Amino acid sequence: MSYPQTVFPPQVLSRIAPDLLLQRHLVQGLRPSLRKFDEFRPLVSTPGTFNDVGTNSVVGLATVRNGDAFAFCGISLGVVETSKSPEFFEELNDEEYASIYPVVEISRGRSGAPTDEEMILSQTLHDTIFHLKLIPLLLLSVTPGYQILEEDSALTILYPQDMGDEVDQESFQELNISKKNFRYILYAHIKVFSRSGPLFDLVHYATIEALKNVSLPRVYLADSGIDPNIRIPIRSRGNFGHLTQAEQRFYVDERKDIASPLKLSLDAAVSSTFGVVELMDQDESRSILLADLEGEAEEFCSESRINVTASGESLRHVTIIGGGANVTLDTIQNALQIARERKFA
Amino acid sequence: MLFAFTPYIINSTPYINLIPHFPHFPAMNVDRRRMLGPASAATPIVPAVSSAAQTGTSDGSHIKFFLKSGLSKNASGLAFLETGDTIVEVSVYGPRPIKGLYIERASLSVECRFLPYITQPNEVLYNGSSRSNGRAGLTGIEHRVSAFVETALLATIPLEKYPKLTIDVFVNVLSFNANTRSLLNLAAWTATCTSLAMVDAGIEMRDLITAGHVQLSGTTALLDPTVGDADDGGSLECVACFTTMHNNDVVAVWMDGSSDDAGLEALTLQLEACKNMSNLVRSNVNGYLLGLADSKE
Repeated sequence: MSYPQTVFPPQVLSRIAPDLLLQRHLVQGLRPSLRKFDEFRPLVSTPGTFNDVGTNSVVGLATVRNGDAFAFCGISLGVVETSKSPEFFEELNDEEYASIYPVVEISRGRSGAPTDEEMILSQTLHDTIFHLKLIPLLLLSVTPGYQILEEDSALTILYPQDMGDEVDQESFQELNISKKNFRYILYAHIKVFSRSGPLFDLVHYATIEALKNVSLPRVYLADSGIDPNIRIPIRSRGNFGHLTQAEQRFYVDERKDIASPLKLSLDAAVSSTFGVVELMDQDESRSILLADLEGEAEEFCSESRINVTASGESLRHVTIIGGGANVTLDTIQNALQIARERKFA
Repeated sequence: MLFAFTPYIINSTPYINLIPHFPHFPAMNVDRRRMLGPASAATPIVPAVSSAAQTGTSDGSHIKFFLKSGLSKNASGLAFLETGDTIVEVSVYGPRPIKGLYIERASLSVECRFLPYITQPNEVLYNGSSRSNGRAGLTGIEHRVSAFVETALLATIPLEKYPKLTIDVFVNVLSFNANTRSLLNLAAWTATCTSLAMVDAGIEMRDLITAGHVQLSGTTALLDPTVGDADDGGSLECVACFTTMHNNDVVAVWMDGSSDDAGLEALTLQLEACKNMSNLVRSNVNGYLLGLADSKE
């Protein structure tokens, strides 16, 4: 008695037997996405700006597309008090670098607490940007200006760094009664749509592209905040509070000509992720490298991963995770070679 | 009253006083799941700039928008709408099964979120928005937009055809200029975009929803107005969603603002103007969908 053979379309097979689907493709020398083993999907970045769009506090922006997946990355600013003096920043050599505080959100039709993937991506991104030595700490020091109400009731903003020698620097410094020092911190918010595989490459690229666009505006303290000894009673929700300098209300100076672009220490740094899978060909089994994983089958079957971050010809960061297919010396060399040779338009 | 004084016993341990209560301690509101940076950081404020230009016209000849649907691999439906500085993206997930109890009608949820670095319209008025990078809940403004879109959808989707399922709608405001556009304007375009996302998801609807947004200036109603179109003495804004299935039914209305002559007459005038804008938008959306159908054949 013979039974008709059951035939599953690829979409169904990728759900019920992803490993089988992948093997059948690989034996043919193709991937389920019909790409070659070492072929990447193009990473396309579009810089953007919110400069003329209302009061949005974003300082750098990029939209990045990788195959079907796309991400919006916006960099925004925070000002934080630092114990370091301005002299510290002046004497800083090139050895000090800062990182960003990223929040990755992947659109997947759920709300609530972030998923493991989002948390891991954010943390890895923070660490990688720090170890890339990308953002010199020196560039993030802030000397806030002061908005002064002059006698003819015109508002002007004075910046210590703009003062010539003819101005008495000491008396100007007295404006800063609290003697506090500040520095910028950078937040990144990365929103990912249409996820179809591991996202680190996309998220990493989006962040770097957005950072490249960052232009740091000057900030100032407004007139009402100058003297901490002056307490202005204000009424808010039935309680009396006090406006003091301690409140640290910084305002962004919108003049573009005095904003300084954030000069990154590297031109570019691109992360390339590879999966390593075992290919059963006739009797022998060999491990092969798949660039830029896409789709459920590839993601599920390649537990071994190699991640290479390269800046041009030089390697910046390498992670090798085993556990699945055997990661041989050959595969590692191969991965490094491909990552180095990757070109961007 | 007896039970109030009886300690509730679990495993012979008195249940009361297990959790000490310190009213003088502030609530620890630390998010350990996201990297939010130092808690003491201040967000610099961008001072509000000059007011918006007047662009609204009574015939809607200035209205321009860009529509695109079907960009997502993991959502059932996605639509993208761009008009001026406003960019809205709507993803629809579903109909997808729910766990647990049997329900006769699908449950519909709408969640609208602004990207964290985008200034929300009238955020001071609506008790502020938190500018923090990772925000768990919705702000009052986001709640308002969500509720409006949900109202419009509830009247249009035959939920009884999707038992034991949920339809989840996620609205992302990717760009918005709070200096030039009002909350109601955003609600109008969001509603239109959402109905297109529903079509992309293949969810049955009685008809498309399209919205009109008008502002009354004297006795003329300006279509798709900017904040600059408002009279100094206060003016009335109205946004209404329509389906043409029966005689251009109104499925959601939202009026805002203050005016001395906010009577029945003003309401009729505004609804009529909203209908005009809605028809204008509808003919464009229909054109887009027909073009899409042609290209698939």
